[in-house]
Amino acid sequence: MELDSLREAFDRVIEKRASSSAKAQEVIDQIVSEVEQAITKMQMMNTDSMGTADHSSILAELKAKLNELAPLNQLEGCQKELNVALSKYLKLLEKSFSPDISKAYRNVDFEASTINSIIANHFYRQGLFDLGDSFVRECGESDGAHLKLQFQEMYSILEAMQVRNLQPALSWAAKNHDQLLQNGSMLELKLHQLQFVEILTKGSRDEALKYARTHLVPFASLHKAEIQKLMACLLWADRLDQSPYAEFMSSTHWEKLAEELTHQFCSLLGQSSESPLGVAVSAGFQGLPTLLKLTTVMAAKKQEWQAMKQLPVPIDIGPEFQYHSVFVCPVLREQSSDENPPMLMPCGHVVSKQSIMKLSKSSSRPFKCPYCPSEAVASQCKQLHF
Amino acid sequence: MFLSRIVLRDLDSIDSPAASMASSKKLVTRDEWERKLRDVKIRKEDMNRLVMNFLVTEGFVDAADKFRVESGTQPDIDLATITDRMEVKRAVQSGNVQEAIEKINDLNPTILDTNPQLYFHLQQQKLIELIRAGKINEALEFAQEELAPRGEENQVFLEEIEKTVALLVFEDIKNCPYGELLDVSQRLKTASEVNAAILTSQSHEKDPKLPSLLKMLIWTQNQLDEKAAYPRINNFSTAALEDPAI
Repeated sequence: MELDSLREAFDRVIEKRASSSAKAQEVIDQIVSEVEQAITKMQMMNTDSMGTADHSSILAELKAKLNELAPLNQLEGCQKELNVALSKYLKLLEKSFSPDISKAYRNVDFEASTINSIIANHFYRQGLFDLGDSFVRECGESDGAHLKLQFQEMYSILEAMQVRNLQPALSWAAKNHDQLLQNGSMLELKLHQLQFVEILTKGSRDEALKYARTHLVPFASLHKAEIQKLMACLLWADRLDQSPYAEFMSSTHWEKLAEELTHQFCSLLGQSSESPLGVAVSAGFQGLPTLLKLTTVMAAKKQEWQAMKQLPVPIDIGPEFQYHSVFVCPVLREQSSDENPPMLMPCGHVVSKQSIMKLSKSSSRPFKCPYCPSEAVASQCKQLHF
Repeated sequence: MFLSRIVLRDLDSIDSPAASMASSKKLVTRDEWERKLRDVKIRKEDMNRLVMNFLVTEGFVDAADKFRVESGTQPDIDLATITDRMEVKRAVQSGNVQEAIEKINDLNPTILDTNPQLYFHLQQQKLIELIRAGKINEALEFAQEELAPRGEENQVFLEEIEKTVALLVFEDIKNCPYGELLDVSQRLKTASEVNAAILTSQSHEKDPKLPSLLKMLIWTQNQLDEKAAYPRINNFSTAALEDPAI
């Protein structure tokens, strides 16, 4: 909606600027043309040896023509139109976007070394090792390089995969065989599948059979269906792309496997597969419009939102940023917080701490569970941690 | 059929006069049962024809010929064709699939043409024999030329090809998930399929009548169990009458 208006205003500015530019060029060309004509006439007269009086008449004639052109008037018209369009565009921009997003900024004291460590690891995680090294050197951090070696290994594996070299990935998967099994990951089998298909299509059928006998047999008892199809590929060795198993040659397998390897690699490091800094920035982008609106409302009410511990409005940033369970008290119908945590009663039901205080008359009396006939006292309730 | 009909009719007539006893099972003693059985007449010629049918269908040529001489019962097909069929069956059971295919085509060229599934299974058995013999390259060449095109046309065939070729991945093919393909029972299964197809092509029933009769006996006894306690036959190889449980 707003973007459409912005686009229209921007296009109008472009249009006016283009026409103004063309008009200016046209006027300049006219002036140049007239001046050149005058010069030509003077040069012709010089050959006739006539007096300066004739030059004066040529100059007077030139002046009259230039006055007739009125170039300034022409340019003024175009310039005015351009300025009008530009002015409208600026007004629209100011209305559509908040020029000062720092209003939504709260001054939170972060530890510099923690921030630096997060940033350095972000660079390493993105594969920007030189940049990360420079950053670490300049900010004087030495611990930030802790994950560099691991991510260098991961990126060398991924780079090898991009040129269809699976050997580093296979070595890593074999080395971490037990952990991958524990994670329930089929990464190792999938890598061997890809390698088998590579050998079959680029090497020979005999090599592929040898490879299968060495590397696919251990998976045979648990993955019969996969092994059966791979072995049947041997019968279409020279034209796998026209066989019932043509999809085995699809390049999407390589992309999915690279994603799976990244996921498992980070998992074995105890890291998330997404960069923490990237996630934080993405979540911030999503929450920013609500925060800006909030600051406007708070300013109108003369309230200081910087000092409050909990935001008065919920900020929905989508399920992909949901990392923890959320408890909503059935009595108060409010989300739990640090001041009002969820409490587990002896009967197994959970309500918020404030509810228990209210029900038990400030811990002085036994109270009845809102859900079931059980009775409890406040001291029997335990705080829940998600 | 006659036997079950007679017995059922007699039971009905027994039950009718005593209406009050209809809800409980009727007890038939062994003496009474044996007396009723003696009243059932079965011609010897019919029995002989049943036996001959069994010998012929199962391919016992020598036994059938001797039985013909001794009993005077004529087989309803030429015994020479039995010999041919048994040679085919023996070839499959001993793993000579190619020989079997040639003999089948000698008998009747249209058998394999009208039975794509049978032909596929014979080809599959041939692949199995090549794998068993350790001729890996020959097996792959054969499967690639003969089986792969059939797998492209038929999903069920394709799945069977996958299972069979998967044998190649194991060095020790006897002890592997697909080891049963190398069993003698796999050969017997293919041989039975061949035998049935040949019999069908010769316009004969592919199953002997005697087993069908035994199945009918079992069914009849199950029906009788609901109405009466009587001397039951449990062991069909001895056909001994068991005293009813009182």
